[in-house]
Amino acid sequence: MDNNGNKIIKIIDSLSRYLQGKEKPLRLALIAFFSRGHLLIEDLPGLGKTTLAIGIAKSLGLTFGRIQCTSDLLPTDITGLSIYNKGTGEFEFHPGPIFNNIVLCDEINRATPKTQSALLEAMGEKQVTIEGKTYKLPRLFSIIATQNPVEQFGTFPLPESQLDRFMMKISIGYPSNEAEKEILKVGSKREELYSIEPVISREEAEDIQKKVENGIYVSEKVLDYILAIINRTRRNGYITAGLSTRGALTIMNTAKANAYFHGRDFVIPEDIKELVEYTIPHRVLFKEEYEGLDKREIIKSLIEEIPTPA
Amino acid sequence: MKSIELKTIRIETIVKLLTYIIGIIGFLSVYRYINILYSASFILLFIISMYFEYKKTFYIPRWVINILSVLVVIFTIYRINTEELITQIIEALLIIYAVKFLEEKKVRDYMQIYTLTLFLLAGMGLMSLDIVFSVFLIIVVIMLSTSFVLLTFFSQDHEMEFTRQVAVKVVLKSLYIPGLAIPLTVVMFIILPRTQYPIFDFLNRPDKAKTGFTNKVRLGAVSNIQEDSSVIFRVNMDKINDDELYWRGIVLDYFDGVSWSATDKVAVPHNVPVSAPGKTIRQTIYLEPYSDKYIFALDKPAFISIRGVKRFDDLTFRMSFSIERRLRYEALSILSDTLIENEIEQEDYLQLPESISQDVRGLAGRLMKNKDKMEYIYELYRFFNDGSFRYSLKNLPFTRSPLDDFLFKNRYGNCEYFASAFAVMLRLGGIPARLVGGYRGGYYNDVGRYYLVPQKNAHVWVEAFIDKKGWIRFDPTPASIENFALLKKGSPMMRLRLALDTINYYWYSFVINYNLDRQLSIIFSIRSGIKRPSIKLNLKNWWVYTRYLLCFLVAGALILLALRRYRLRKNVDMFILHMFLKKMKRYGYEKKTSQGLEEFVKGIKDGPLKERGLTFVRQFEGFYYKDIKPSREDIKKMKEAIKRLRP
Repeated sequence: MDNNGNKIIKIIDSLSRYLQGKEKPLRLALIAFFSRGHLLIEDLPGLGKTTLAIGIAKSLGLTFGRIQCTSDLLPTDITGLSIYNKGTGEFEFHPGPIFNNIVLCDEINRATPKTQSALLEAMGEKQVTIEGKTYKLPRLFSIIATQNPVEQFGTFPLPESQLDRFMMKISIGYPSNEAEKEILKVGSKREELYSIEPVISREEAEDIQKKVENGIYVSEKVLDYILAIINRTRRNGYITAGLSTRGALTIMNTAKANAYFHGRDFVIPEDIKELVEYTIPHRVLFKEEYEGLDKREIIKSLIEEIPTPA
Repeated sequence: MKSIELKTIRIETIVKLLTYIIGIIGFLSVYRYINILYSASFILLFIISMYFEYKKTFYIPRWVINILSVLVVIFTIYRINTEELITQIIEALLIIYAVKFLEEKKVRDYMQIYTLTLFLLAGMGLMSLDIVFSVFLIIVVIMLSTSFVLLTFFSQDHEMEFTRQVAVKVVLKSLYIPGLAIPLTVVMFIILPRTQYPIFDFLNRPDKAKTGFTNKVRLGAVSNIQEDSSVIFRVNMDKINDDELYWRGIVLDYFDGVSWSATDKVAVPHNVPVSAPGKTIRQTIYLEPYSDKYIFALDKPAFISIRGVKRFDDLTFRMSFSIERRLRYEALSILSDTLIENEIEQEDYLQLPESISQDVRGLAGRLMKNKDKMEYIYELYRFFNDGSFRYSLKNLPFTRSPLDDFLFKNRYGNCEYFASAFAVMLRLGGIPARLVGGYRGGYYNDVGRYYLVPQKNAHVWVEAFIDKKGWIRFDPTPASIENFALLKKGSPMMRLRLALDTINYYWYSFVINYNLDRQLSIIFSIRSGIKRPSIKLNLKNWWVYTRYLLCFLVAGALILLALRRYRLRKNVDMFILHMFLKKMKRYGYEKKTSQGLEEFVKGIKDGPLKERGLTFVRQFEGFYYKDIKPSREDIKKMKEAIKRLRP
């Protein structure tokens, strides 16, 4: 088990050379990836979202695709389309950027709802249907979507029901002073990133995903704890709509991945507690009067009321 | 800021103040009666505890206090003697009281102090009947109720503060409690124990349908009484020989062939002496209601002290009304089987019905052949006791000629058959005879020093008149005392019942039949040393009691062990976790319920402790969150990890 934990540490170590001071988001992104989920990063541009996505793809030996969302982006721009091949006289399917392992979907809230829903469908079903034909997406498939929290003009905010499809919503935040100084000294390392050697192979990555899914024990006590959390979100003064069952599954799956990252083969309450501020706030609807408050803090305070099994 | 602080008072401060005043009152109430050494040590400890309260930095740990209290109790038990029991108990209480003050007090400690105060006050009540006692009592009751009210606030929030006005208001309001309770208590005190007639009697009325002797007893009817296992009376007296336990109640002198009845008797003044040879014995009898008028006492009752009782010339005592409530009376009896009397109406006691059969007459004639009166009596006695007759309560011959059936057909019956056959045969032989109904035997309760006599001990025996001697008691029923099983042969149930009955007895004798005389005499008897009931018994049967105690202790220990094992088996991880958290708490780190274990340990600032704590937590989690039962060795390892915990 420790061995596997080391692999994760190795990935994080190798990437942190390029992502100075972003260990935490990196870790969260990896958790989302290994628990077969998608990640939503809400942050200002220029803080290293793309670097993060590329870094993950490269260090895991995966392919990387990028979608720059705009209001005139069409669903087929994402999924790909069939083009008539004069030579063969047949339609040939040209897969879009979504047919990659790691797909960075920049400023997702700039895409029109139609495009958004095509994308979200692909996220949910792990397949796309174009002109009556269904195409499976790669087995290792994770979307890292970003959105800009400040600019609201000309955007189509994702509805809550669709936010639920993202496993976690995180923000990267400004790098620390030293990290920023380092960047200024050395310059961006984005170019180097494209040429790094994978730390683990694609098969190993798949293996880890499987282990996270099947090899981590979740005790009944922990399940009860998760249920207590869910019930707390459903019954309190701040929230109108609590966690869905998918939300509960997310909490469990991310906790499993977190446990794996800690080198354990069982989940402890801390695995859950560490992640609640990323897994819960975007899935619940707060009452209007609390919209202005820091939702993460509200969720954290709710969790503080729930006793752990031990 | 300063001015606001001045106006508020911490509740804890008020409670402490009140408690210390109560402590002083508790001490003052008893200091006169105890050894100066105890008073001195109390004062010393009390001052030390006040110092602790003032400093607030150090308190003596609870386990030291507990051990100290236990030692005081053991010491008291060790030097206890019956002469000065109350004083010694008060002295021990006072020291425990002082020790209690030394503690850092939680709500329950205040409660304990108050309880001890009441005990001390009760002790004072036993030592003196001064009016000062009631002054102490009223002060303590008032202060206690105020303190209790404040304590309720305190238990909710230890840091709660009152403004001066609120404090005054709360204290005044809390005075309502004693203000209402004291007058009510006085009323209850006057009314309740003094009623001879139970106030809440309507609650247990059905209980009243009782069987008992009446002035006409059909042959075999006593067996109805004998099937009733309820208590007819309790008699407080010294233990006497079983042979002499005949409780006289009614005399039956007229026989109609089927039933015996009592003819009208002449009342005799109480001061006419009863002449009988034997020693006089005094009894206090608590008679249960049984719906007739006869008063029972040991055979040859000489005097019965209860208002309204009449004595008759057949030496029976009767009330003018039937007994529907519990009676208590004193009786003097002369233990003797002979009642000396010279002149009697012989014919009354030779009466026989026409219906006596030839068979019976013939039998009497055969037995009487060539014998004088005394010899005839002994011959009769042998006749009934030679083994051919058997004592039985079942299938009694309820026929038209019960005597014939008993003598010639069935040859079994209860005491009534034996007694009436005996009496009839005596009368046939020209010897005046009568039946005496009452009770036989009884179960002696060593603790309460009283005889418990149940209805089933109902009995009938015979008195025969011998010239120049008087009435002599004969009991023809074979082995009559064995039918009224005595304690030694009694079943465990009977023993248990007897033991439980002690409580009843004390209740009836001290509370129901309450009067100031008696109360005073009890107080004095307690004060001059409780010789009875239990202390003396303890010394006598110490081995039996020690055995019980040992059994009890062993059983208790086994149960504890089993519980512990069960808990260990069932919840070993919770148990270990509890150990860990307790230890951490000792180092000042308390886990919040919402904290995970690792989260908790990682929050510890002390490096080595954190490291060791983490080692344990990692071990523990491996079992707990994987739902694996740790093996013995694993448990041992975890326990060692806990042991190693230190900063």
